[in-house]
Amino acid sequence: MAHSFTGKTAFVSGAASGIGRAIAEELGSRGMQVVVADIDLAGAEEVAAGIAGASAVKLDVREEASWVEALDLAEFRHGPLAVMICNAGVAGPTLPIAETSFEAWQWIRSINLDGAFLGLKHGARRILAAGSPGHIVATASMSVFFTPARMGTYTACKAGVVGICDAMRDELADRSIGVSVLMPGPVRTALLEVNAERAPSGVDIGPQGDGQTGALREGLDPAVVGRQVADALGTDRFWLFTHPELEHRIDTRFAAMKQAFHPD
Amino acid sequence: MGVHPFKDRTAFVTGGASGIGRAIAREFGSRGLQVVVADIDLAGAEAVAAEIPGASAVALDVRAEDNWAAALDLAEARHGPLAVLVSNAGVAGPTMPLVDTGLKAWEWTRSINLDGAFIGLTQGARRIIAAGRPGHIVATASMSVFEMQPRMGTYVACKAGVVALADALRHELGDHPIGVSVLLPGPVQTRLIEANAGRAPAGLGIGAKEAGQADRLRDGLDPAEVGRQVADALGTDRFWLFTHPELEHRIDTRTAELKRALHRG
Repeated sequence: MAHSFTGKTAFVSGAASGIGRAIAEELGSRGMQVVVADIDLAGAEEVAAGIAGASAVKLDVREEASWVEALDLAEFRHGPLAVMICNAGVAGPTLPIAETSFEAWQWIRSINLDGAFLGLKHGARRILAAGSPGHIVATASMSVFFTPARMGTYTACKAGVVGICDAMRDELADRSIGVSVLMPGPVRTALLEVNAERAPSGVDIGPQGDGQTGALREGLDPAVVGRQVADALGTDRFWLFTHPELEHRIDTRFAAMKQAFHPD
Repeated sequence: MGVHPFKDRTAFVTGGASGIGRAIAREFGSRGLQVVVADIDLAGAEAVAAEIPGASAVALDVRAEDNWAAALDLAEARHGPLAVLVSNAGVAGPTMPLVDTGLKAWEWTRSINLDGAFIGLTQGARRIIAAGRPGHIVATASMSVFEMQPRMGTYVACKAGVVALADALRHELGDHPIGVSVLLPGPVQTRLIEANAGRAPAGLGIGAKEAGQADRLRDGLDPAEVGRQVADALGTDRFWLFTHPELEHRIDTRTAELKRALHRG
């Protein structure tokens, strides 16, 4: 079955590894022209080399100028943007928030939240300018329903990403642009391993490499997530859940809120 | 009504010069807490503090970490160790679609509504832990996190982040006698929309004032009721503070949508 965006340009941030890489590979296998964007250009080039018709671009999601330059290059090489996947992110400080410095907060917030704002906004603007149907996707996290220990800053940023997507699906509803938000549970990525390398020097981001790393190592194959995202493009699916077995997180949250409405 | 568990202890309320913050400050004062009315509008904070026995005012720009440290130092020097922190200061932010929202308008709102909450919750928690006595922390979020309001995407994204920060803090402080609550107001009679343009830096495009939203707030709940609700929650284990029972359907609708997505096909 031909994909609805076959031959069209898809831009994937954070695509040198993990979920972003899997999405890029899957979109490539469905015949899209994939732009593999990452702050690690060498890594992006390696991924792009493995995908027919793909190219790599360097992107620092924190910088608006970097987004503009990367999108200009993407459209110059491959034609008008049709699909934007805002996936780049870091695990951030693995500390209680009361022990997290403002500098550490700013680091993760600038990547995971400001970066998503910039990418979704500029992506949507390009797709609107192209005048053809499109789709934008942002990677959030299942953690927004329960806030795992020592992941408070990460969860706060991802909750903000859900809010941005929720707004954009309403704003773009009449303009042939689909919006989806990806809510992964544990996926087999190097999210926690690369965290320390990416942190600015001198900023305490807490102990790295404990139980959470193990949970990711035993997590879902990112290729499954890539297929799920590719399948969602062109549909009206907003919430993309990767882990049906985590439904109880939603039930628990819902029950707590209902209880607050009806005390006793 | 018995003696308030935090009677005579120090409570710091941001955004205390108006709206929900002022109502919380007044209610705390009437329950015998020593209230610090913090606001970027010092004259406004002083006017509120003047009406509350034992209260004092302090200038606070919630975006600046050193400003928080100075304001909390002053509060504790005047009134004693911090027991209650209410992180309430916020702006409506740009009332426009996100695709039209400039980075500077995003940053303005995010630095006040989310960074400001981060600094306040973390510094407040550290002070209350250091005091070694029971305490309580409250953050003002919004009922809009469960149902998007048109042209309020920036605001809602920040408030969704505030909910998560409060959620993290309540888990982390589980071993301390410190309660955490998140306030989820529906429409409350405040000047959130009217005051918005006056607060924005000159030249920042924040969109047209939404007459509909201002009207909804004008017809909204009396802030005094929200103040009483927050004062009642201190010292309890109530995390979710919903002000509008009639908006329960938003949670039902959101959850039903999530469940449908989980069970698709």
